[in-house]
Amino acid sequence: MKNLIYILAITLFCNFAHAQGLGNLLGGGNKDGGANPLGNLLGSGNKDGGANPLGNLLGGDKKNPLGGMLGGKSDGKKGGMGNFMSVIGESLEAMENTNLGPVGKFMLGRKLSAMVIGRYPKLLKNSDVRVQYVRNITLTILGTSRYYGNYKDPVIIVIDDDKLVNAFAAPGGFIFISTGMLKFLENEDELAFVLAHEIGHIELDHGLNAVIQKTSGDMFKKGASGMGMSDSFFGGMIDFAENGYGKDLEMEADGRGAMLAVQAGYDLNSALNVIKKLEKRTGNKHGTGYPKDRTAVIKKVTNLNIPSDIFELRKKRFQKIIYGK
Amino acid sequence: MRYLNQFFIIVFGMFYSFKALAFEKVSVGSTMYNACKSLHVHEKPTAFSNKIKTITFGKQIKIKGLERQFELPDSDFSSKKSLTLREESNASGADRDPQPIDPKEYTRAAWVKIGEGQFVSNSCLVSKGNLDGQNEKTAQEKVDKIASGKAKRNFSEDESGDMTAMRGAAGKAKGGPADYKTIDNFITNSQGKIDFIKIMDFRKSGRLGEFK
Repeated sequence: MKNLIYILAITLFCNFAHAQGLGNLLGGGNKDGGANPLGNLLGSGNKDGGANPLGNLLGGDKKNPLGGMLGGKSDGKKGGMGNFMSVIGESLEAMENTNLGPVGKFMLGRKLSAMVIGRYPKLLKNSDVRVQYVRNITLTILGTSRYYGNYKDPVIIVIDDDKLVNAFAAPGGFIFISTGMLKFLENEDELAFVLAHEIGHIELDHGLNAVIQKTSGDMFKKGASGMGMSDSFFGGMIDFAENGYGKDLEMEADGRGAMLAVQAGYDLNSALNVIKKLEKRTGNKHGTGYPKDRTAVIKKVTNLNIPSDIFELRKKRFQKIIYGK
Repeated sequence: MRYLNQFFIIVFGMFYSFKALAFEKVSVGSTMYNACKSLHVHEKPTAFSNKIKTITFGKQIKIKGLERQFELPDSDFSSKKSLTLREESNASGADRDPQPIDPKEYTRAAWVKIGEGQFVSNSCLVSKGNLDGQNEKTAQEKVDKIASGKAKRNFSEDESGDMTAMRGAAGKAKGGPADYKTIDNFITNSQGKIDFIKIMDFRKSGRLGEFK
């Protein structure tokens, strides 16, 4: 939804400018609705948003696409044309920096994961049977995912904290789950859904999406401040960008996660159970990130008919590994 | 001039926003490059099929077919929903009827065929233009720039605030001072350790994957 709000706002600006006779100058209103209306006009751009679309025209290089013309780093302090170009330079730099690819996503995930470990330093060793178990389930679900290939093999980390009931994902294939979450769950199928939800975030690129939205918000803020636009209008949009994953992304991850878990052979009813339990536990007090009824999107997924003996078999191995029963 | 300035800013914001995030668009006959350390080649377009061989980083791949195609999710900047909204607004501004969006613009392939009975995951593939940035040093520089600039509040290593790019199953993720030594140990200890036979046994005993 917030993407759409951004797009709508941008388009309104474009249409306003078009009415002012500026549309043609910028090559806007691309007939085929391509991804990069400025590409052809400004040089080597391509529809997919290549790495340095303005490189040729402006004589810069990838690291500093506007270097030649601007004569160095854009700090926004220059007046007149310098400031004008510096803001554009920042936009381009942001575009380049958020075009990460498999290696960039991995490095972003590594950084975020290092910060999670900084906060939760007590971790189970890779040799722990619980880590191996979580890893087996994760790899099984990843096998059904569109995001099977990662720059490096996935990194599964179990945080040794019984009081923490949570799981996280970072771009590039990093997945965290706490022992508190493992003990909060009752069976393997519930665990599979929690992991599938996290894999859903990775597959749908929600982490990078959030970064881009945040960056877009900053650009809007900068643009709007000099234009005398209503603070409340842009403030509302920027709030969207700054509050992390919104409910739309969480619903997407819930839906996709449920689909991945079912495709792997797990029971959809367990996904519903675990969400109801989490809602009861948190009471939706943890913020605005989740919709009121998280189960609605999951109910749209077609369930498999899991034989009860298979479900029980998986439940037994879960209890043996997690509870030592 | 003031309005032109702002207009440029907005348009450039749009410029970098409108692209698919997770997958590059590929077409049959195009050449792509592997940006993963080890890209497994399977005999069918599924991870549960036999692994034939492994392709190393940087290797050129000719696309011979698109498999398991899907529509980009609504949250993607190249989704049908996003592109349609934009086309409707563009059409309105230009006083013309909106044109239907070509499905190629918002669909991607999860797997690609690279030979007879040979398939690889598309999530590892990048175009020539993007291959240059696919090294850890350049990627780290980009991530550091994101951290030090536009998204500072969410990535600063000495800040314990919430992190935009990460969220937990039961609430927001919280970060502390970055511990690279530990994460690098975990990364190292996780590489090349996947025992495909053992995981297949796990799936078999739980009636999962190809055994469901």
